[in-house]
Amino acid sequence: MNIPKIPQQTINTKKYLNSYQNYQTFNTKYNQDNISFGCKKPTSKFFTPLKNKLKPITDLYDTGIEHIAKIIGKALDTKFTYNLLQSTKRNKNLFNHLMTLGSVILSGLYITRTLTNKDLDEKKRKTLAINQGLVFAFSTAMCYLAEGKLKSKVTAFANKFEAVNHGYMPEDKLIKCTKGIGIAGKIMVFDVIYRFIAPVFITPVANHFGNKLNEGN
Amino acid sequence: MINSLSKDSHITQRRRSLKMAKPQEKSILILEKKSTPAIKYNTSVNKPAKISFSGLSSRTLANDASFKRLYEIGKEYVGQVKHQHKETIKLIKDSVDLLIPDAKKDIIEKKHPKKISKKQEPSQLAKTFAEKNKEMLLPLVKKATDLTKHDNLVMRTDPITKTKVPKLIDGEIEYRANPEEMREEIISSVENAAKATTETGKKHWYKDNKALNYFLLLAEKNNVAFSATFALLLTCILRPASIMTLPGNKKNKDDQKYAATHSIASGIIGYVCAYLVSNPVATAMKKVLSNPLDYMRSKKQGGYGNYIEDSKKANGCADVWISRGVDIAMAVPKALITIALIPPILKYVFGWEKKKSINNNKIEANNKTFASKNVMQNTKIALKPTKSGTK
Repeated sequence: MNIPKIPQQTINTKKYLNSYQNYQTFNTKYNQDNISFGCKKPTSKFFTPLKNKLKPITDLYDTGIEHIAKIIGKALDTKFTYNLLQSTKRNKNLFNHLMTLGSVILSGLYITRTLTNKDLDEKKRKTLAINQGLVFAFSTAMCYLAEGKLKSKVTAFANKFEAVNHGYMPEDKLIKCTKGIGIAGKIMVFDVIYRFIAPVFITPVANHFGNKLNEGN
Repeated sequence: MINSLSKDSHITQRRRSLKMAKPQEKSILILEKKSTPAIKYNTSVNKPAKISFSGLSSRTLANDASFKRLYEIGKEYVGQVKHQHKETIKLIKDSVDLLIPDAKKDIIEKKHPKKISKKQEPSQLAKTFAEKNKEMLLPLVKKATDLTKHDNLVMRTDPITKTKVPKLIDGEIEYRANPEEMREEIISSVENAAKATTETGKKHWYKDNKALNYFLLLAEKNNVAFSATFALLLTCILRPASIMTLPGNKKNKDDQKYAATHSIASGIIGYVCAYLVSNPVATAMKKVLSNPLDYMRSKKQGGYGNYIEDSKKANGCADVWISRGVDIAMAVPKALITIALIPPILKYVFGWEKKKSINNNKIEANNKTFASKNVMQNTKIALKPTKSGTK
């Protein structure tokens, strides 16, 4: 009689992983403070009926988001996007390059408006256009230099933030916050230089250089 | 032969479809090789943490009591020096570098290997520290190696349980990095942990701060909205303050007030436009990138859904392109709306109107043309032939 052999599954879990998981879940302050044994979520007398009234609007919003998600899925499912992602995957400064591209378009718009403005003379149009171009050039150079020098400090702050807040919030939230530190640093550097430092401090410098160029011509 | 025009075509098509359909077979995972055991994760317990910014190893080591004790011992070795914190970090880093064995020379070359930094020789103080404190350092090194290996595992999705499981090639585990790269990661994780040891016990402004956490989550969720909120702060507070206080081209107080309100209005309009347009796009994008196979085709169907699910870099790259693309597409319309809407708002809401400044160039130009016109007219009158004849 041929008895069929029952296949045995080899289960070899590493001990430290299980103990680490249990250590993690036990020692977090969030888990110790927010213990729930099948309790219901708390409800408010004002906000819960208001949410129920606004439900049709929120349902419309959700359906709209799903339509947008389908469009994004179709756009990502092409060969063009595959080639684009493969070529730009390893570029670390891609975020910065795309921000400068947006500023290029805006500054180009303002320069074309000054060049086509009929209320001004041709000389004044040229001077204003040159000044705007120089402001753009100086501000982009400053952005790249500042972002490169502040990168190490941002990473050090992110490591400190993660070590200090370990246990005071759930892990998913902590990972998202640490990612947000790097993104927020870049955005703040670009916004401060383009919106505050450029119009206040860089325009007189650019005007000085622009007027010199026009005097030479 | 199936002919759609025939009467009985629906029957023949149904017979063909019945033949083609096969039942789905469920297969059980069986591991035959006993020499190389496989790692399995308990799905009932909370899943292990995903790879974070600084790595899983540095975070666990920083909160370890033995590591904190080792840091204090290292402080005593260094003594009271100007940069005590930095030199203790160097000491621990060099001692760990001595204890980790060198990587083997038979390394598999990759297409894009990471750049390895230059090595600096460890100091004698580090050698004495490593010799005397081996009992504390060796278990630390073992822990760091295991955790970095866990960080560098290549995962695949199990089709039955739909969970992430480490990938096996011929029964062996696949790692993402070379042994040399792993060696550097171990040292960097210990270094990052040492940098964060002193900060755990003290009170800091970034410890359990709800407002800061809100802004950081907003930056991770939606870049455009975060930039718009930060721009509000600049345009509504800093820029008007600079215009009113600093001496500039605008000497009249009315012009200064007009410029300040102009900046405030531009900030508010930019915030509203950015929030309305970018918020739904960002939520939709997160849905797609978290579950790409629900909205995209799989590899068998001729799509790229598995590519975006497996590769983390492509996932992040797509996130950046879509968020920045929305900002670039919105830049020109936003600027045009601000240029068009601000003057009527200031006129009809606040009752302010920009006084037309005297353009000296225009008057001079008009004078020139007027003078030139008179000259030409006078010459024409002079040169006109009269009926009576030339004079």
